[in-house]
Parts: sequence; structure tokens; C-alpha cells
Amino acid sequence: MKRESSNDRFTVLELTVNHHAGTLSHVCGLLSRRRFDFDGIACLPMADGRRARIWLRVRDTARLDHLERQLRNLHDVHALCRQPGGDTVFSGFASRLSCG
Amino acid sequence: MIKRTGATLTIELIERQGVTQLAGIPGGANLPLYDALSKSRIRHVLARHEQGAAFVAQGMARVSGEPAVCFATSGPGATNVLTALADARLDSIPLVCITGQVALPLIGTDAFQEVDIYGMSLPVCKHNFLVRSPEELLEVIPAAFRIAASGRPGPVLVDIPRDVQQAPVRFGHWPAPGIAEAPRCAPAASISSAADAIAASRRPILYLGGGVVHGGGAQLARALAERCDLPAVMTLMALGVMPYDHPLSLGMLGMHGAEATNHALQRCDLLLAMGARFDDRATGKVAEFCPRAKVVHLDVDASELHKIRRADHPLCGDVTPTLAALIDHLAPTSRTAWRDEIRALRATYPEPKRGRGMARPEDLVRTVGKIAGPDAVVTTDVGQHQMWAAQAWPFSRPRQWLTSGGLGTMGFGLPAAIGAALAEPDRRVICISGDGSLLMNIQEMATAAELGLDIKLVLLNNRAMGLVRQQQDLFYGGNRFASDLDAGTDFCTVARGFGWPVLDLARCGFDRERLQAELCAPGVRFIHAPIDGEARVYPMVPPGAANHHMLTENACEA
Repeated sequence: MKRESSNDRFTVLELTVNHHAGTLSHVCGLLSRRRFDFDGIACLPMADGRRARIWLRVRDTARLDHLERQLRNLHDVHALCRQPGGDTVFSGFASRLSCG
Repeated sequence: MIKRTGATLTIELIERQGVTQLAGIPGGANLPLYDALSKSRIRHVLARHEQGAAFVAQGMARVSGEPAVCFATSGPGATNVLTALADARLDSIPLVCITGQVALPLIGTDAFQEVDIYGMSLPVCKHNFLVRSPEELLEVIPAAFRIAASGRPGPVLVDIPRDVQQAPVRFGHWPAPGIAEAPRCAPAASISSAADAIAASRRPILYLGGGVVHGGGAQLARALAERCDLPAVMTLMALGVMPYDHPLSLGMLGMHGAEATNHALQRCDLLLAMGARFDDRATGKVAEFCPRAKVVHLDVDASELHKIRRADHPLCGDVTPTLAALIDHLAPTSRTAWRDEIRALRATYPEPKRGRGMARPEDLVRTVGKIAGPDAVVTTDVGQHQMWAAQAWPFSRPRQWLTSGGLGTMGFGLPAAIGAALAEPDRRVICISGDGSLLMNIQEMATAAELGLDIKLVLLNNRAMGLVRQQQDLFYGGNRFASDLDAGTDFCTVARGFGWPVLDLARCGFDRERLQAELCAPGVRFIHAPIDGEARVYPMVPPGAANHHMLTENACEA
């Protein structure tokens, strides 16, 4: 994670993944070893219990396409999209932070 | 219902994949697997170190193109395979590594020989599994083989706790073996666009990488070169795709490529990268690599496209169907002016004169290569001897050359040679090694001798880590530190101790007939070749410099 500056623009990536303990390690490990900064991460299991959804709040830089290609290479990642409507997932967390 | 234990199920699933031999070492956490393995048709090769076992598997996979298997126990057994897995990942080699793990209730308790190999192997494997029930094995084992072999190949680790190995399992039917997914062709529009770029180009160069070998595209790559009159350069991993004496072959590019080859790349107007990943050893300073060229980039791994160099014409697909389609789009072309220009470059920057005897290490390597012939497999370790072999071996076919390219692992050569000899017992296998490298997996001399394999180990002994010392000489003001290995190790005596017959070339005046007799003898043979400790590999691009800024023998040794 990197300190946020007012000039940063963010995008939220929504991943549909296998729901097991190693998946988060795969995703976070990729971000760190490939030098992709990220700002926030959230994860919840889906109703079927076999899959989960991960939201990644990442900087919208020239490397974003490359990050998406690398994430799609992970065998635990079934689908990836840029979340329409921005970072609603993280706005709740942000408000909790601002409440102190 | 079919009844098995997790261990017997695992072994039978591996058998059903068509695996006939695997390498490994038993230990507490994988003994149920070994008990089951002892009753199977699979031949087990007992390596003397788990890294050796994984490199034996790599040798099998590199010559066959099929996933190969290695076993290790938990803890130190598992950590010992990590280097070979990382090596397989960087060179895209299909491996399935099965590790024993402590029983599920003990995971996380710091139990004896417990390490989180699942977590440790995450960054160095294509994928990995921690199996939590014997039923999962029905899905995981075929998936491991499918993932290892599909698209861009790579290593897959399957960690199986001991209690999962011992637990009973009942199931209705056997799953289908995991096989590589069908090759897919790049989109037609992108092929058409790339073909137009080739047709319009005046100074194109074909830049072939290891992906051409892995994808079975060597013949098509040659056909493309010949149809469109394309001069071709190869990465370290692609040597053999174009025979060394092919008129369109410019040999290896990059840090130790020929001068004329790197200068030709500076002038090209279209770079056709095929299964190559713009590795820094190949490109030198990226900003100055092929500065005038548009780029066509074919790769099965979408994440390689635009990673280092933006491609003007990206082609995401398997090399074989995509090259076939590309060739169909192209009319036969002649590029006389470009070939004349390259011929002039070769006259301006001639390759060093070849010696007649074996006084120089590269001449010795070339002589060994000529005696061994085109059917032989050659493996190397990492260092000066590796680069001399890359420059001088008379390559004639893909999968002839096994070397650790991406990771550059000293200790690769001997166990990889064992794997190659096991997978292709009718071929002679030559391992060119150095004294620094051999010491890193020397214990596998026992494995090779025990198996009676047809392996000739040629040791270029300069009593140093030569490439380290060369860099200290050239870039650190001659401050030689921690690179000498001059402990007086008597490698001939050591080899005899392992049961290898020995020829010391120093004691027979580097006699060619004695060398030939030894190379053609059956079984293991150790050939000791003391070389000049001051010999260097040239040309050399300083790390971080552009490829056209090469240090040459004439300039440095004058």
C-alpha cells in the first residue's frame, strides 16, 4: 500500500474467485511481487459458498491493463471487471474511518 | 464404488496421466505416498537432494514437452524444491511437484518438519493446491497436469497432508486425465494486421524465444523465415529452433550475442517477437533496443504483451496455429538488400577466429558438440561455460539444448542431464559444466552412476566462478573477491569416488581421439578439462547498457 495523494485516481476491480483461503494469498502476492500499489481490498463469500468476490481499489495508472492481464492469469480468478459505478464498496469503510 | 486411500488414489491418478517415471526423496510426511508408489508401475528415481529431484523432472519435461513429476516430503524436503520450481516457472517448464505435508490438525502448530510450502511456493508456481480431503484429489491431480501443460506451461505444486494420504475415499468413477487445453489461434484481424506489417517491412528480424520450442512451433518458425526471407535471432531458450548453419540464422542476441547480430537489431524496422518475453539479458537497455522498429509480438500469455515493450501488432495465441495462419497470409518474399546489409555487418564485425584445437574453451565445446552429433542432448550449468556452449555448440533442433535461462541456476546441468537420459534413453546426453556449478548438485553423480545412464559430464575447470570474476574484472576495477574456488579440489578423484570412469584431458594433451573415445563410450563418463582461468566470454554487453555497446575481446584484451 502507498500513501494516497490528492492527485491519485482510483478504479475498483471486481473479481469473482474460488472461495478458499489461498485465493487472497494469490491475489495479494501478485500485487506485491509485481509492484502494483493498491489502496483497499474487500472480500465476501458468494451465496453458493464455492465462490467469493474480491474488490480491489487500485490506482488508475498506465499499468492497470497489465494488472488486469496478470490477475486473469490466476487460476483461482474466474471473472474480472472494472466495477461500474465506482468505489461504492469502499465508501462505507471510508465513512467508518472518518467517524474515527 | 471404487475404494482407495488418498495415497493410492494419488499414485493411480498419476499413472493414469501416463507418467512412467518420477524423481523424488521420501520422508515422514510422504511415506504413505511412497508406500503406494512401491506397488505401482511407475519407476521411481531416488535423487540425493530434492532440488536434484526437481531438476531431474525438469530434464524429462524439457526434452519431452510433457509434464514431469517430482516428490518431496514436508519441511526441508519441500523448501529444497523451491529453487527448481522457480527455475521451471521462469523457463515455462511443465512440472507437477507433489509434497507431503504434516497432518491437517497439525498445520499451523509449528509441527516437526512443518512449513507453509503452499504459501512459499505461491510466487514461483503457475498454480498450487493444498489438498484438504482425499475426495479433492479426484479433481486436483488432473487439474494440476492440465494447468502445468496448458497455454504457457509451468510448475504446479500439490501439497498433500499425511492424514489425507492415509484417509479412505470412495468414488463412482475415475476422472479423465488432465490434458493441455487445445491450442488457440490469435484473432484473424490481428494476424492480418501483422502480415501487412511484415509485407511492408524492409528490414524485418524474427526474434525467436523459448515459447516457440514449448509450443512446438520451430518448424513453422523456420518456414516463416524462409518464406519471407527473414533473418532470425534466438534467445538463449530458443537455440536450436534455427540450425546454427542456416543461412538466415543470426544466432543468439543480447548480452553475449554476436556483435553483428546486435548491430543488425539496431537497424531493423520490424521486430517479430515470437514466444519471447523481452528479457533484460536479451534486450539490454530496453529504451535503446531496436529503436527504429515496430513490433509484432506473438505470445500465448496475454500478460507478456506490452509488459516490457508496447507491441504495435499484438498476437495473443498459441504459436503453432498462429504461425500457420500468418504464413498463409504471406506471399514469398526476397529481401536481397537487407541480407546484403547484414552480410556487410558481419564483415565489419566478424566473429572471433576459431581455433583448430581445443586450447580455448569455446573450441573445446565446439569439438565436443561435433563429436556428439545432432542427436545428442546437451545440458549446461550456469556461468562462462554456459555462454561458451550457447555460442559454440552446433545446434540443429529444438529440445536439444537444456539450460537454465531465466533463473540462471547453478547446479541445473547434471540433474537435468539425468532427466533427459531417463526420458530419451537412446540419445547421448552431454552435460557441460563448470567447477562452481557442479559443486552445487554434485551429489547427483551418485544417482547417475547408480542408474548407469549414458551421460558424459565435461567439466570446464577454471578454479573459479568465472563469470562473477569476469564481471569483477570488467566492472569492479579488478577487485576479485569471493569468486576464487582454488581449494585444490581433485574432481577426478571425486568423480571416481562416485563410480564414474574419468578422462583428464590435461593428462593426455587434450587428445581429440581420447576425447572422442570417451564421449562415445557407454554409461557415465567424467571428462575433466582444466581451462585458462583468465579466459573470458566475449562479446559482453555491460549490465544495464544498450546491446550495441559491446565489450569485445579485441578491445578488452589488447
